[in-house]
Amino acid sequence: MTYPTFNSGDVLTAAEMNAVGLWLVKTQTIGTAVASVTVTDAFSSDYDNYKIVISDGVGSTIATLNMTLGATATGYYFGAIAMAFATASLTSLNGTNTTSWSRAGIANTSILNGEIELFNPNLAKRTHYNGRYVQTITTGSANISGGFLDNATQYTAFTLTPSTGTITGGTIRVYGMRN
Amino acid sequence: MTPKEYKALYPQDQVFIQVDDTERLMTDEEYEAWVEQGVYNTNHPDTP
Repeated sequence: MTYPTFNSGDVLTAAEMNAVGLWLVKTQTIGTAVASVTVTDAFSSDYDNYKIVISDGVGSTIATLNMTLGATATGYYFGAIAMAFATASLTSLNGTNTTSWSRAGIANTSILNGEIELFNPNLAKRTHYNGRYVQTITTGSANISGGFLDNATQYTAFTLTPSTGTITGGTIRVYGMRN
Repeated sequence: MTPKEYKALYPQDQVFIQVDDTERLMTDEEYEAWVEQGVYNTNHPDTP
């Protein structure tokens, strides 16, 4: 057998299963008119690093998604760049010892999306992230950001909060990256 | 936008805090803090 292509009826060995790089840890559907959504039991000692994908859904207005870990509300550092579609301009933003990573995703009345790689959230060391989102309107932008949390706390949960208004629908998927 | 306008747009009994599959309404204290933050962010937008 030559993986990653399998045939119907193949029996997978431990080695083949252990070669699976991304494992879906948790799927969370977002409710209606939600001011924040917390995903618990997302991080564990099973994986050092994670990928979080936010898709579908809508916001009540244009808002960015703030991300926090556990109950921590201080010590977030980040930098972000917005690359506008309408012009060749870049807009940068930074956050120093803030209350969240404020560029985890985007919402407007037609979309909700975000893609985050999170490193070490369940280890006793600083957690850092790389993130991207696309504001899918003609006057929107593509955005990249990255940052870290200035502590060594071990986390199992995270929360997404729109900067203003609410979000409805959509799905948050958390994948563990095999160590 | 004023807090009054924000509250009219998002009445306390129509906004929820979600933890996994469980949703609940905000306490008065949580709602006031949420309104204050939402009004500030609405009035001071940065480039999303």
